Amino acid sequence: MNSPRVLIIIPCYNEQGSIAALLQEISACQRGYETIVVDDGSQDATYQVARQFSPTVKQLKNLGIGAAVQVGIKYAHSKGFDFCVQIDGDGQHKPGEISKLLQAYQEMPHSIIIGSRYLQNDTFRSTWVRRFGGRVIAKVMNTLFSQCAVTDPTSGMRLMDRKAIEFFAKHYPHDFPEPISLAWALKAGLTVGEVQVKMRTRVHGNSSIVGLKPISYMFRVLGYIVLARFMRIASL
Amino acid sequence: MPTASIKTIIIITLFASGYMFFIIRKTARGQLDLYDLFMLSAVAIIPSAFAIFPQFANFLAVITGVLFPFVVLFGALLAILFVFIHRLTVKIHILESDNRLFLQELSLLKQTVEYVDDKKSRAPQTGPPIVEYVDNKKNRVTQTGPAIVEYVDNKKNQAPQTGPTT
Repeated sequence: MNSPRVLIIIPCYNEQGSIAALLQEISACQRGYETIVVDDGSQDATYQVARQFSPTVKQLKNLGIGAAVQVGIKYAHSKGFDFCVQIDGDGQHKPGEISKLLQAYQEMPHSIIIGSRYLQNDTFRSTWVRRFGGRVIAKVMNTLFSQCAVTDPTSGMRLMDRKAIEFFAKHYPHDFPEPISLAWALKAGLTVGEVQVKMRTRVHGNSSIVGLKPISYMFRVLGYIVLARFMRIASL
Repeated sequence: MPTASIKTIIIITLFASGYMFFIIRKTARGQLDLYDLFMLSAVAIIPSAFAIFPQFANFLAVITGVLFPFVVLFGALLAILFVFIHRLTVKIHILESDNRLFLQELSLLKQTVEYVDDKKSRAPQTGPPIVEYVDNKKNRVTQTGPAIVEYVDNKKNQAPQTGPTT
């Protein structure tokens, strides 16, 4: 049986400092993963650096992480990949942990497998505001979607199988994509699983969700999740 | 029942006429569609109707239970404005989605083109150099008839002269 084709989608915005090391780390895993870097209209040399190591798509304009990830998913769909794994371009997600997602899929084949920071132990360092917001979002999602039991709905590390790739190639949220994409997928009948992964702290750059922004982020996400629960996917 | 003065009616009529001319011209040039014309013309038509026909304004005020007719006027204009803004918002959202989709597809297409170009420039030559191949083909062509030059000459010599020579 042929080993499945896995595409790693790396959305980037101004990550010239970390993208080369990340791509080299993926290559060093020697698992046969293919990569696609999606440069979301960076103003630095991210595209030039990434091109040396991986096929790279440069979006003509900054459209946000949701649009960037969807470009990667469309690429996976058009090239017929069996799985795609989304990881961040800032080096927070360890490429070595990708195998855990694949193993989790083999044990229990959910359409989406999230790499969770909080599933088994609570040692990942984050601000209390972000942690609180994430917990509330998880709680609401698990309540509204009975088949869902996630602990880290905002994780940017996730595996998608062919069914999820086909769905997300057509429907992918561009605002708050991580949690909302889960809500849409659950509404469409896809299943979601989780596996504990280790993540690093950001090496370069700064998060855009700082201060009290996580609280407003949380309320807006909750609104979208409630909307997703009650609207038809065809109207997306 | 208060009525508008002649001066007021003239001013409102002038404004309404000028504004209607302005938006009809824009519609004729394709800058506005008929729906936009209809909605924007309310800014001219409703105040004109209220000024020229005060009985109508009072009738509406009685029906809606409002004391002053100008409140009905502004209420009507606001309602039209809300409907117009709603439609614009929906339209902007659709355009935004389409724009995002086009940009995504263009970016993917650009990547595909660059990939093909890169592949071509790095492709190794597996056969003999192109120039030699062409030469070989030329040399291998067998002459099945007289050489072209000879053929033309023969045809010239064989063509019957039907008219005076030039």
